[in-house]
Amino acid sequence: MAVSLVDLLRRSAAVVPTARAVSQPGGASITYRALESASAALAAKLRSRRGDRVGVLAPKSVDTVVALWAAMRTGAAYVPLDPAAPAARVAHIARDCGMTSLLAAASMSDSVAAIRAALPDIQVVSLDGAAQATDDPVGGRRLAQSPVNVRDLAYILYTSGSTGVPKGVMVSHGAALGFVDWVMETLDLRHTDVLSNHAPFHFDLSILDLYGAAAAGAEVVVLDEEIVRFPLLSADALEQSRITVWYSVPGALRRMMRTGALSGKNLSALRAVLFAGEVYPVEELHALQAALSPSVRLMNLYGPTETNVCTFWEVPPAGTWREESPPIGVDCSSCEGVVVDEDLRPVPEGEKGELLIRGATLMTGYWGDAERTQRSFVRDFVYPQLGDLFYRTGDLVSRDPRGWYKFHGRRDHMVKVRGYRIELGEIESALHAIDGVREAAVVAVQREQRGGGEETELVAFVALTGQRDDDGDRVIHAELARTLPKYMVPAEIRRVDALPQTSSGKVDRQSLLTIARLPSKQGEGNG
Amino acid sequence: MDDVIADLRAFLGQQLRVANSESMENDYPLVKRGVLDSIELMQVVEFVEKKYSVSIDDTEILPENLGSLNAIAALVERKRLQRQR
Repeated sequence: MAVSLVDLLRRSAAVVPTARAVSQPGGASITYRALESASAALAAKLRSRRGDRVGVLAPKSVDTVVALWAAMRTGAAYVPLDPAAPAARVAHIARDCGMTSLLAAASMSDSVAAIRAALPDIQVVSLDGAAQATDDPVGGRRLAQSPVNVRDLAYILYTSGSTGVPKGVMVSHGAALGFVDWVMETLDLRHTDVLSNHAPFHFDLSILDLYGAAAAGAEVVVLDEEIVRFPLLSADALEQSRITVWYSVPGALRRMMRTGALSGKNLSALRAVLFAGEVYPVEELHALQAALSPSVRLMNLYGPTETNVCTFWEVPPAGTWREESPPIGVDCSSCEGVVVDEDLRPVPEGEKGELLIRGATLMTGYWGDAERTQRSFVRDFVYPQLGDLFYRTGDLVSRDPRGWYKFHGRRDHMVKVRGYRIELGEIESALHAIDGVREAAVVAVQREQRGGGEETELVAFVALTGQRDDDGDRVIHAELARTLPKYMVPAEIRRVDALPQTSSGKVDRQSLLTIARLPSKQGEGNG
Repeated sequence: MDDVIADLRAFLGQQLRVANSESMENDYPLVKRGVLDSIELMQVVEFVEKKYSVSIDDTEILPENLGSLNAIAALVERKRLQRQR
């Protein structure tokens, strides 16, 4: 029985040693046997030990996947860093989790310099060419015996935090394996499968691709930053790599549909299309279903990083469903949900309440934040004798007579932009930190995109202490871009004299939303 | 070409808030290096279409046409020539 994710790799390296483990479309690839030895060779270079944190900072490639495995082989948790994030942000994360080692690509020199400045003692090891490295048999054997417990952390994923700094979600090997078990069972993965890896490694969607494939001895096709951004290249990869299981945010599928990238493609290998991260607009989902063979399973997966995927909805055959919005479905076998009111009492069927989740895949907690961890869990009142915990998702759902959960939004100010979850409070904190900003609020609005369809965009409202010249917005944008990843920087900044308030003196977000939907004067004439 | 590149730099800097839009090399890989995400890429296409009254087909949304300032400027030049014929 596997007690860690590394056991999945060891097993596949023994069972299907010559099978392709990881590849890039039309490029590099590595077999299970080579992945086992290359990751052991890279791990042997690391100072990190069980319980440590190893950063991984590189564009997506086979080498980067080798680095993730190498980090885990030392018994450490890997901390994947966004290669497109500002240097200040990755340095903050490195310091926050006390990284002992960093595996980085040479192209990341600016961010590496910022991390070294924050952590002078950190060990930095290049991961370039890691997939070519041949085994150091002594190191490999020694590492193969390094003890890892199911409760040890496998990885820490940093997500947006409402208090102004990103928070690290700690996931144990046991929780990750619990999720992989569900993936194997639900998708019936085989060593002949080819899974897409569309999501970046710092995004929880990547867990299904990387470790589902490893568990099945299947191939995972790493789609790099360029392939992911060009719908035609994504569709080419889907066809040419003969991907059998595709998994991405809805946006990636919607763009391939909108640009006609899928038409004329031979997708005979494809058997399942999974999406998660945000709501798939229902008309577009019907269109996707119509464009694919009826034999292709379509599944909407739901779950915050803290629980991993905990519910799913398998889209019924075309023409047999009429939902107004895709439900998030039923509990995964690895989890169990309950819908409660504000006093944590279960609500009757059909009524809205907060979704609580218990089960095998729950996070261990937030790194270095016991108080927030405690707030996010409640004692299991369904089976109190087990002493388990429920995670409070903060998501409002209801359950219909078929047992399907429907999603109704958030209890707080978390929004989804391009599949990323964003705490508006984090952006507001960053705005408040800028000299001359008196008041600031951020809202998310739906805006029409080229070629049809809507996407969520952020609009910031800012009241300044004094007068600022027209360059003021530029300064604000530049300041935000220094500390926040691009998807968190508002598309538009609107200056106001003061923020509108409700009768109770809170920021009137409803009015801000109404104003944000009106076209701005600034935007006119551009282009 | 140079006027198009100057327009693009201004658009990237002002509308898409790319920090180093003025100092960036003309052949810097905009998409590969994560300067532009998939939605911003479409905004660049939309900007170019409106600004130069050209039409870019979905099948032309590829790295060789949009992957760098040089690539976009060359695409615009080609489109302008096509229009003149």
